[in-house]
Amino acid sequence: MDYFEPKTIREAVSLLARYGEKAKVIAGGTDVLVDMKFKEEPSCLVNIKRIPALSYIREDDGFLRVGTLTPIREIETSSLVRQKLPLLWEAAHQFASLQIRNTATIGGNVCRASPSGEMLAPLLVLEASAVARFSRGEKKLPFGELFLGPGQTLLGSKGLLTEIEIALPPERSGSVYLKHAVRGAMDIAMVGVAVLLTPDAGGKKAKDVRIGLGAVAPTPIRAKSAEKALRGKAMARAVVEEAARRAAADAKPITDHRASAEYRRWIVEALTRKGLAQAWKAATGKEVDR
Amino acid sequence: MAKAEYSVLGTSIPRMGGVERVAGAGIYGIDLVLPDAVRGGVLRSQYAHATIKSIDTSEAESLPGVYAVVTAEDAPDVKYGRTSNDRYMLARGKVRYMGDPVAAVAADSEATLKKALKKIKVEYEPLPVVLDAEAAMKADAPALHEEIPLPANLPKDTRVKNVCGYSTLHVGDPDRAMAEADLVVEETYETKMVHPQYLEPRIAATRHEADGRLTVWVNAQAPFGVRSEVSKLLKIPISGIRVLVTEIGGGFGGKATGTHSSAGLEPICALLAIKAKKPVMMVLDKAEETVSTTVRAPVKVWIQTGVNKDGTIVARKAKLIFDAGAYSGFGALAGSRCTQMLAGWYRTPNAHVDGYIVYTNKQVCGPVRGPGGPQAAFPVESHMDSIAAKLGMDPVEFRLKNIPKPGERIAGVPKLRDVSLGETIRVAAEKIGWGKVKLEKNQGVGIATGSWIEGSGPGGGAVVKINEDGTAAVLIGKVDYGTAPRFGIPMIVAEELGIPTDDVTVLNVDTDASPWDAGTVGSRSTLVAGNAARLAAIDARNQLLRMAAKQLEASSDDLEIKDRQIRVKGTPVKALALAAVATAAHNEIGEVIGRGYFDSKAVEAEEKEKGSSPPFTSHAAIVEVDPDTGNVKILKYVAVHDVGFVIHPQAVEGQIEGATAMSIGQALCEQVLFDDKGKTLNPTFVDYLMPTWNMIPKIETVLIKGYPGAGPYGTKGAGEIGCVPPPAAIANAICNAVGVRLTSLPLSPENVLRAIREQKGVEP
Ligand SMILES: Cc1cc2nc3c(=O)[nH]c(=O)nc-3n(C[C@H](O)[C@H](O)[C@H](O)COP(=O)(O)OP(=O)(O)OC[C@H]3O[C@@H](n4cnc5c(N)ncnc54)[C@H](O)[C@@H]3O)c2cc1C
Repeated sequence: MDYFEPKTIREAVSLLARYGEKAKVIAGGTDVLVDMKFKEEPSCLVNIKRIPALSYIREDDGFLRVGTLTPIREIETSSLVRQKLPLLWEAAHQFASLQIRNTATIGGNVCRASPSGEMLAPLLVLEASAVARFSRGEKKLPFGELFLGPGQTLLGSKGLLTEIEIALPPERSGSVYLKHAVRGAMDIAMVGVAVLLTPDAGGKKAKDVRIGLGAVAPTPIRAKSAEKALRGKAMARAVVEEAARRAAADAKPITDHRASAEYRRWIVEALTRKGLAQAWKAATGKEVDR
Repeated sequence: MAKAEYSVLGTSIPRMGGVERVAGAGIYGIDLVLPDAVRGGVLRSQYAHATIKSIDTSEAESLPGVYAVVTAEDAPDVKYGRTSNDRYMLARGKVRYMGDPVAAVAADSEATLKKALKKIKVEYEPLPVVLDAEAAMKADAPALHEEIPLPANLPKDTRVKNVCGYSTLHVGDPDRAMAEADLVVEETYETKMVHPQYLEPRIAATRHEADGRLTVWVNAQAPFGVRSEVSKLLKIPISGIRVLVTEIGGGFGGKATGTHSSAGLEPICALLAIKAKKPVMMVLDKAEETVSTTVRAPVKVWIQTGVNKDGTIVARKAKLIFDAGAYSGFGALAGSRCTQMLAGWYRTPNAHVDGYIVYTNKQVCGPVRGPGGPQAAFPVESHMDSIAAKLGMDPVEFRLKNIPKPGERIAGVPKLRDVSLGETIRVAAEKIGWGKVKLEKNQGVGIATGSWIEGSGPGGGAVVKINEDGTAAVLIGKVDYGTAPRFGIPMIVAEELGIPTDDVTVLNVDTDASPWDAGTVGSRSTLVAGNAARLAAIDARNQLLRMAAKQLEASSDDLEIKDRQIRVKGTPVKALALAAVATAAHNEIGEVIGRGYFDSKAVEAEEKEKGSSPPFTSHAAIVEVDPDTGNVKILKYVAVHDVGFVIHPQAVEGQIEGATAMSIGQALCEQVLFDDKGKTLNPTFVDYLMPTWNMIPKIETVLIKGYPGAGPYGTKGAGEIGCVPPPAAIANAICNAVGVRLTSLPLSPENVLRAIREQKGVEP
């Protein structure tokens, strides 16, 4: 196995261009090392941890920029994130264990593109973009298009993620991330639901609603028909329940050893209902009308 | 009580060797370094059921760095088994589950080993697979062991297949009593396969010594069992094998039955070492461990009980289908215990239970902590609540109504001496706040009881040697894995010799030096080794006192040992240093060596006459069920136990809390899952869900006193019984919370939510 520790992004990208499919980027290694033990060893390992200045959380003119090597724990402990992007904080807080959060990077979580990846549904509803470098230059890839399937992104084998760019949501929005797993902590999500809800000026209607679902399709997805059912509507119990049912229908879960597809749908419905109510309360301070 | 009577017993001394463990000193099996050792590994079957057409090892053998490749051809044609010899150390002609060892390799590195294992070509002819024990009994099921006859004790007209053990129990006239009962309640229950999942990986290491003997290092609970099986399988005399036990990081019965537990790892390792002419070290990883080693067997139970209107149990009938896995292993023994327990531990004058122990193409049953216990108690104690509900009776009251009396019998115990069951129920009810605690919506309270055998089995010996400085070295055949050897044994010896516990060393098992023992199993460490060590210490003390008597010009009866001094009782000035007497012994009788033996037969005979006092327990829980997700949270948990006299309170509480937590895992989330070809779907800790600490409540342990058992000073076994009640206690609390009776484990969110939804669907 060839092993490299590039010192610059350019060097890393040229290694990826040279080795193509044979190369594997390693950041925190919490996915890569497990794969190496249980599956195949790659013939070339590119360790990007020695590239300086890729770990940061920065506010920049209406955006929050997070460097690809930023550990999940940094996100969890950042007061900036907690204040401006509580949704991302919540996902980071429910991520694995302290030890893993110290090691795992946000970029690794995104590039791994596991349908259950904790940060993905939140970034999807935040309509973030992935900033990536290829040998031909930089590209900005919206999260809505980034994921192609489990483990597959538009980065392919030759792109290097450098930054996540997140437009800050409106001040008066409310959000929540709910994870369901048998053990709660230290367990892979059976279902993850991210909700971002912006009320209208009067605080009665939902102006903008975004619902992201994790672990219920080959990629994280938006529950589009559920969002549509709520947009512009007064937040009443019946509307929320209808939206939750639609979210369950939007989901395309599979049956595996963790849960049946049917159960995952039930959970999507329950968590969407709960998530909408909690996000509404976070935004307006009010309960959903009966 | 303990304080006044004893100087050491009843206190909680620090665990001997505890600091080393917490500090991470390299003391476990995997830390073993043998000079010049090579790595061994096993090739396992890729089919759950198949005939082996051919094995070609030539490519693997020719790889540089490979020292030996072995298959069944390299080993004598000998089978092993406990109740039935149905298993080869390396598959011969046929494989019966996906963990079955087929070949093994010794190589210079882990990498070469992996490569070589891949290069072994095995041609299989797949056979139909049967994974469900009930299906395996049917006429159209594939036969797993054509050559093994059905059990001789099967009733004549039984038409079954793949049955490797049959156990039955009959008391009174259950047919008639059932027909005459006011109410008959009938249910079916199911439990799933769980793996004991000790954290420490299993090892085996072997060196073929210059004198031709074999030294085998193991982290096994039954080193003498390993010795006799290695001897049998490799046709090496017992005298040619020495087994040494490393420190053990958890076993829970999963490392208990000779080489069964490890699927032949020790003899395979020995075979490799002989062929490779090099020491061989083998370590199983977690996934390999889950697919190949012994498990807690799944069961299906049909249970029926007849009661009178006033709540008196008049009859019990039950049928058990116990899934032994691919080989008989410990199945017939655990299945038989499970059969007995299905008759319950309440007064039941008429009962009939049939237990069928059945082969399937899965992992093999081992004596996992309380073998058969949780599988019986989940049905029995859930069923008790169902009956109480039908009677409109309070579950606690219903149980109390049916407590057996001294002199009566329960299944497995022909005559009870004294019965603590009722007291454990009353204390558990009081501590949980039965009938008093205010429960919120979706919260519920449940109770379940349990009993456990003290276990019959062989006796065991102990030797206590007195060093010239008056300290003692103790040899016993039980190994330490959090049990008596580093808690109770040194305390007992110290108590009897009048020396501090720090002056006592308990040696780890070396089959060349330690007394023979059946294995550290069945909650028997303190019973067997404790009794034996006590007698050995008394023997040593008597020898010392006899020698001192001459010098002190006193009768040895008037002497005692206190504070490392031998002195005349009541006249402490007339004293000799213990060290001086021990040293002087060298020229008189040689070293002072005390001998003790726990006579299992004598105890059985005495219990037959006077009755026995088995341990009883009651657990109570308060849970909260999330009606949206099916999630169950345990809010409060009380474990009340009668374990007789308590030598080391903290150690006993630790055993009970550990067993309870282990069983909560089986209750809430643990399960080995299979696809339809018999492949284990969740072999690693990513997918095999053990409970994490946030799922385990604070377990309030209460030890009730006053019911002495057969152990030294009146102790009873405490290591396993904590596993018995939890699944039923939690299921009963769930039923109390949301009104659904779950009849299958685990009580996982999905199963709970499904049951809630089904119930809602039925009720308009
Ligand atoms: C015990 C345990 C518990 C876990 N629990 C959770 C959990 O609760 N939630 C969860 O979401 N995940 C969990 N994971 C998975 C894992 O920790 C996360 O996916 C983590 O974020 C991966 O980050 P990393 O830095 O370790 O990635 P690595 O393992 O280094 O890489 C992951 C993947 O991303 C690629 N990659 C990394 N960085 C880049 C880059 N800059 N450009 C291009 N490709 C890149 C790698 O090639 C690889 O394919 C768990 C893992 C373990 C071992």
